[in-house]
Parts: sequence; C-alpha cells; structure tokens
Amino acid sequence: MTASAKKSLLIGAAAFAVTAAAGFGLFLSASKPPAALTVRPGASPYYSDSITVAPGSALFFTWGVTPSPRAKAIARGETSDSKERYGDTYAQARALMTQLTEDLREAGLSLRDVVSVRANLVAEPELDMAGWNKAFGEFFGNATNPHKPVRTTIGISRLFHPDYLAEVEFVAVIPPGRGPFTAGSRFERLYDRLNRASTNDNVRSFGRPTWALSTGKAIKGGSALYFQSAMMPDPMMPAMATMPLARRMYKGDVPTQAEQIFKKNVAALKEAGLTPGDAFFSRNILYPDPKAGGRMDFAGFNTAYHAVYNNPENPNRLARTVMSAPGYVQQGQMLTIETYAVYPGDVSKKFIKEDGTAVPLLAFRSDPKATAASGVATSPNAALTFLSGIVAAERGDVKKEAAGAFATATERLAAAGATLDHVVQLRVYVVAGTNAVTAASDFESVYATTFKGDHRPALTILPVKALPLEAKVEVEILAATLP
Amino acid sequence: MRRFLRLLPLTLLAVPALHAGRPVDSPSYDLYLDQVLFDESFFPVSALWGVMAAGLVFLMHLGFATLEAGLARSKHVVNVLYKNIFVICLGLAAYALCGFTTMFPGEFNGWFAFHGFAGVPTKDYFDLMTPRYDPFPWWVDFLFQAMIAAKAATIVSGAIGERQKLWPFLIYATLLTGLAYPIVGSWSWGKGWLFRQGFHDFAGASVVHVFGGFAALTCVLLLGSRIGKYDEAGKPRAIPGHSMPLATIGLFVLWFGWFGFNGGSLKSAHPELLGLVVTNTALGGAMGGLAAMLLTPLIFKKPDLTMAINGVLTGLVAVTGCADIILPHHAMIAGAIGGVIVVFAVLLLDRLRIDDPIGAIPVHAFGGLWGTLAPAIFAQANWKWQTLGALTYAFAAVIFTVIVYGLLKVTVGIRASAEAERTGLDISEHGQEAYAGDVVSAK
Repeated sequence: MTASAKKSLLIGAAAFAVTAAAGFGLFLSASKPPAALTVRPGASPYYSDSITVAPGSALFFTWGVTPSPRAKAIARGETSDSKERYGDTYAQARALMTQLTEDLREAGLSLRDVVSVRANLVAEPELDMAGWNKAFGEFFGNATNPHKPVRTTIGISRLFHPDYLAEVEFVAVIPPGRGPFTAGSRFERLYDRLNRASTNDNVRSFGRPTWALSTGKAIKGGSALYFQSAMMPDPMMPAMATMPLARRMYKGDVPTQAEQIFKKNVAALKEAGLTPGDAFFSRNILYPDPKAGGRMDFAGFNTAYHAVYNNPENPNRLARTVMSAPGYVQQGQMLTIETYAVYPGDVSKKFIKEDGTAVPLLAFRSDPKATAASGVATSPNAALTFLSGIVAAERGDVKKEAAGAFATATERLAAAGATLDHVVQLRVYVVAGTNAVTAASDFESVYATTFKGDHRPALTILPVKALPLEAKVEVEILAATLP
Repeated sequence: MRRFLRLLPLTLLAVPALHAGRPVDSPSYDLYLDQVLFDESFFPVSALWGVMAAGLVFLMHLGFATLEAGLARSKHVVNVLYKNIFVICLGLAAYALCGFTTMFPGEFNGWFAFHGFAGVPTKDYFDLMTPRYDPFPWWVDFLFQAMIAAKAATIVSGAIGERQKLWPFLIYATLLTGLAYPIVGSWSWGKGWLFRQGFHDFAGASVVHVFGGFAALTCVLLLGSRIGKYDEAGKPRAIPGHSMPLATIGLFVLWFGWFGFNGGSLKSAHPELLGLVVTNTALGGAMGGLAAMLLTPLIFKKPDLTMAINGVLTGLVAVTGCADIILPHHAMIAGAIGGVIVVFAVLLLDRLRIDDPIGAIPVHAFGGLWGTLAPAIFAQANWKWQTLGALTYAFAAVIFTVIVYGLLKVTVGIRASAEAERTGLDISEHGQEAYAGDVVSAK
C-alpha cells in the first residue's frame, strides 16, 4: 500500500468515526417526542402511563382504520384462502399502523408525534394480545423509535367485515411548523389548494372528498374541545330514562335508534353552544343484533348519519370509528355513539368564571341527578392529559376491579398534577358476558363513591368481549388541567 | 395580411370562448381531482406512464455507459461498457429473484425483511392488477423499480474505472444490487423505520445517490488512485477522457431519462404532480449546469465541459429528493446550489487525492447529501431526520463496501496489475479494443 493510499484510508476512518458519533447524538435528539409532550413512562415495555400535551398545541385525530387486502403479501404467495387475505391480528395491526403512518405524513407528522393509540381488536375466539403487542413494538418503543405513546386496547365482537380483526386510531400532537395551520408551509399549501369546504375555522379535514368520513382531522392549537358522553337511544317509556340501567328497555332497529341518538347528540351539542358543523370525531358502537344473527346494520346506521353529517346542509364529514361490541343488547339497545367537537373561533371567555378565576373545563349537566355530564368542554388554555387504559392489578369481581383501577387512575392523575375533578372523559369497558346490565350497575356504584364532588365527566360504559390481562374492568381517562 | 388583421379581434374573442368551452364541472378542485384520480380510465393511464417511465430509466443506463465511456481513456472503453451491460443485466435478474420483494415487503418490522423468489400466484393475481395494489399495477411497479435498482452499482462502476479487476467488481456489484440496496431501500421506500420517522426521499437522493456515491467513495479509498494521476509532489494531473461528444451524449440521455426516474417515482400519472415533478427536474438540471458553467471559469480560468456535465447531473440529483413537494423556484435554487457544490467537491477530492475518473463521488455522494437536505430547507421536512437519513445511507454503503470489497481485496485482489493498467483494461481483461489501433498507440 502506498503512503498516499494509507493516508486517505486514515482520513476516511477518522471521518467515519467522527460522523458516526455525531450521527448517534443527532439520533438521540431527533428521536425524542415533540417538546409539547410530557411523557410519563410506566412499567409497560410498550406504552407510557400518561402523556400531557402542552396548552395551545394543535392536535390530529385519525379515523379508526380497518384493514385492506394485503396486496404485497398476496403477491409473495403468502395467502391461500380468503381469511388470509387480511392476515392475523399481527399482520393486520402492522398494516393499519403503516396506513396510519401515511395518514400522519400527509399532515407532516410522524410516529414520534403520536400521543394516544386506541386498538379495537376482535376477540373471536380470544383477544390476541401477543400479536398486537408484537406489531405495536415494531412501531413504538423500539430502537428506531423509542417513543411510547399511551395505549388502550379492548376486545370487541366484530368489525365491518367478518375477516377484519383490528381497528386502530391515533391521536397525535402537531408540533410547531407542521400541519395545515402553519402559514406558508407545504402542509398548508397542500391543504389549501384543495379549497375544501370547512364548517369550522379551527378544523381541517383530510381524506377523500367523496368518502362519507374524513381520514383525519387537524385541530388548531388553542381551540376549546368538547367531549360528549355516549348517547343512548330513547327508552320505551320516557320515565325509564332516569331509572337504573337494569330497568331501562329499548325498542326499534338500528336506523330508528340511530336517528334518536343523533337527535340527542345535536341537542347536547346545542346545550354546549355547538352545532353538528363543529363535530369532528365520532365513535360508533353497534351491538350485534341477535335477530339478524349477530350482524351489524351498517347501512342503517349510515342512513341516520347522513341525515346529520355529510349532506348539502352540513358537509362536515367526521373522522369515524365503527365497531361492534356486546353492549346492552339484552335491553333492546342497538347502538351507542360518542362525539367530539371543537368550538369555532376564540371562546376562552367561557372558561373564566364570574369571579374571574379560570377553569380548565366546563361540564354540561343540566340534570344534577344525572350520573354523567352530557358533555365536557376543555379550555383553550388547558393542558390535556391522556392516560393509558388501566386495569386493576388483581383480578376479582367488577366492583373490586373497578375500585383497583380507580386507585391506579388517581395515582397517575396525581403524577400529572390532576385529580378526579379534572377528568374530562371517562371511558369504562366491562367484560360481563350476558350480565352486562349487572356489571354496569356494579361499576356505577363504585363510580358514585369515587366521584364524590359535584364534577361529573363525560361517561361511556361499554360492555365489551374481552380485555387485556383477562381483566373485567378497564378505565380510560382524559383529563384537563390549567398549568 | 389585411384579412388577417381584420380577423384578429375575432380570434382574440375566441380565446375566452375556448376556455369557457372546457369547464371543470366540479364544485371544487378537491372533487375534480378525486374524480380524475379514481376514475377507471386513470389506472391504465398511470400504468402506461409507468411503463414509459421504466423505459426512460432504462435509457439512463445508456446514458451512464456513454458518459463513463466518454470520460475514460480509449484503452479502457470496452471494460467500461462491459461493466455497464453486466450491471443492468444483473440488476434486472437479481431484483426479480429477491430484490423487489425484499425492498417492498409490505408490512415488516421496519429494518429487515428478506423474501426470496418473486412468484405471483394465480389465485389473487387479479388483485395485483388493480388500483387496490397501487396506482401502478404489480408488473409495472416491478419493472420501474428493477430499472432503478442497478443504478447504485453503476455509480460505483464509474468511480473505480480504469484500474479495477473485472471479476471482483462483478461480484461486488451483484451483492450490492441483489442484497444491500433492497435492504437499505426498504428502510425508506418499503415504509421502514426511516419512513416512519418522517424521512422524505422522493426519488432516491439518499436511497440511490448517497448510497451509490458513498459506496463509490469507499471503493476508491480501498482501490487507490490510477497510475499517473498524481505527480511526484502529489499534485493531481488531469487525465482527460477520450471522447467528449460521447460524454455529452451521455449527459443528455441521462437528463432525458431523469424525467422518467423522478416522474415515475410518483407511481401515478397525477395530472398536477407529474407536470410539477418533471418541471422541477428539468429546471434543477438546467440551473445546476448554469451554476457550474458560471463558477468554473471563475475558478479554473477556462470553461470546463466535464464540470458543465457534472453540474447538470448534480442539479438533477439535488431535486431528486423533493421534486414532488417543492415549487419550481425552489427547484431552481436547489439545482443551482447543487451546481456550486459539485465544483467545490471536485476540488476537495483532488486535494484529498481521491481519484474519481468521472466525478461520480462529487455528483452522487455530495449531490445526494444536498438533495436529501433540500426538502428540509424548501419543504419543511424535519432537518434532523433528513440528515440522519442521509447519514444512515452513507454509513450503510461504507460498512457494506468495507466488508465486501475489503474482503475481496485481501482475498482475490481488486486492483488490476500496473502492467494491465498501462496497456489498458480492454486488452488485459477482454483481449479486445474499442477502437482499432489502440494497442499500437498504447505501446
């Protein structure tokens, strides 16, 4: 080897070492989640206990994505029958999160910006947590993406197609300089050239304009959000509305009940000073109809949806999640719907009480005896804290597990500087088989002793098929605090 | 003439009428675009454009061959052409055997998936031929990617020309195209870990150019410089290529092919974006050439043709990473900066005594680095991840090359003998000459 060749090799090796060190340093800094997120890791190797989003951050809510046929896997010859076209839970979850990554990229976001992941897994015959964890670990909390969002997993009955096994939703934060609200950016240009009709200044819709739903909704930073309780249809007799769960009975098919629910949904929005044009997300749980062999009447639901959303009067198309869970089908109830909305313009004055003190949230509860608020609005100045789905450490009956889960929830809220009075939305999943009503009543008794003060959050109690760790109760919380 | 003048006002009146006769009957551009992109007839158009783009990318191999041949001395031309033919033949074959499915594995863990022989089962065949697969059908997707696959090896082939042994290079090129390139390509184009972190590389500023460029750099470091490139004092001597017309033809063919390379990377015949991407490509190349042609006389006193050629090529590489998300004025700035970068990169390599006969390292390694950073500057891509992406591809290339080419170096040897190098690789390796009379003149 000549002296000159030796010298160039040495220079090359030195340059390699220096850049490798610099590159690793850059990786450590670049793979951190955005500054707006305060991440509190927990015991889980997959997800964090809670994440607080700094006030004034723009948010991005995706739709509940369901699988598409695995074209590339088919091409490799890995499929042989129709069931395998969609793959198992692992393959489907991987495909969904790849799709969601692309949806995020459209708004200039990446997996680092994800705050919350919600997975609805079909638990037939049982909940495939191993497959879901494996897929999740390939996207989050690994060497290439150390960020761990919060996560909630539930086991449901089925999704739109019998071979769909997973449905995943993301909530992400839009860091400064990204998303369609950054003036002059490519993301704004991309969005604005579409000249899309918007029913609310603080929201931008993504997805195909001819679809009934949006694939994502970007919410402007510093907006006041509104989270609605799960809405029930009208009971058989009006007096039943205030009766305990076990004595309420419902009638009618999906389109009838959906119409009733949408009517209540609009009324509750109005109570909060909102219109259907301000809604941006809805989670729709259709109960398997025993008379129709467990099928979910998707078309019937869509008819009712189109009477309120995605029509000439209100072109607003929501980011939607549709699934089927056992629910209260024994009571004759066919579905339930949760809606999120955002206030147009600046409503920060609403969140200042008469005595001049600022509040993080406003609960709308016209009936003081009601177990929950019809909806809760969060102040534009509030920090939102997303908690992972919590199950009690020890297995037991519904009451025991609910108390255990609430104890953990209180601890985790305290870590985020919040109490039960700061809970915006409480979502409870119970596994009860055929005793959904008893289980829900059992939960409500624990709930009544836990929420002792005046504050009541937006509440959803949903009987599901299965939960992680074979738990009977899982609690999911969103809280709002003033910094 | 007078009649024409009399008709002129009428003609002018007809202009708005022509526009009015073609209304876009959608309430918004959003709906119009949806109507076009999801119309049945759009898919065959995209497929057709894909095949044309694949053809254009194929033509780039002719561009590489002529460019490299023109910039080589006449006694090495057969060797250069032989390598170029081998690389495209091998690229297509290796990509069909395992490359395509490894690079586009569908869902995978984000950093490694290896799939063997590409076979299309008859059962689900028709799914792959519909928009359900991609805006391109499966065959078109394969063809287009296969044409690109051999490019990294072609970049190396140019940089190590005139002194390497033929067979070790062919082994190296095989492993580079069939194994290394598909694996690293999957990190971003196969929706792997870099893609998930928001790394943007539209048509391969990193995947193809940084990877190929740094592989070339490492190969050159392992190989050493050509005999006579540096004088006793270590000052570089110009070794001019034998045919500037051939090199210029190569440039124009490459530029032409680049329209397909960038335009095809859209994977659809999107009416708005396709035009934008090709416009950006054309302007980037033009501004790169202009910048180099303006700068070279200032530095070297005389306008230099090879610098002009490399200026255009670097301008093209500079817009490769972001042609889909920037507007033409930014493409012009990016291209011009590329043209400046290449001039200084050539000077830097001379200073470091890295002998690159055709300037592949300045164009592809340095141009590629700039092309990867450009989206961060002009289109709000995350600069940290653009930098990390470029570094990742550079490191992957260096590590792969040190292992494979280094192993070849210590086992079979990668350098042709001094005797062979002086006679010309054409005679020593191939026993052939490109132009009659070379043997006589070489002696």
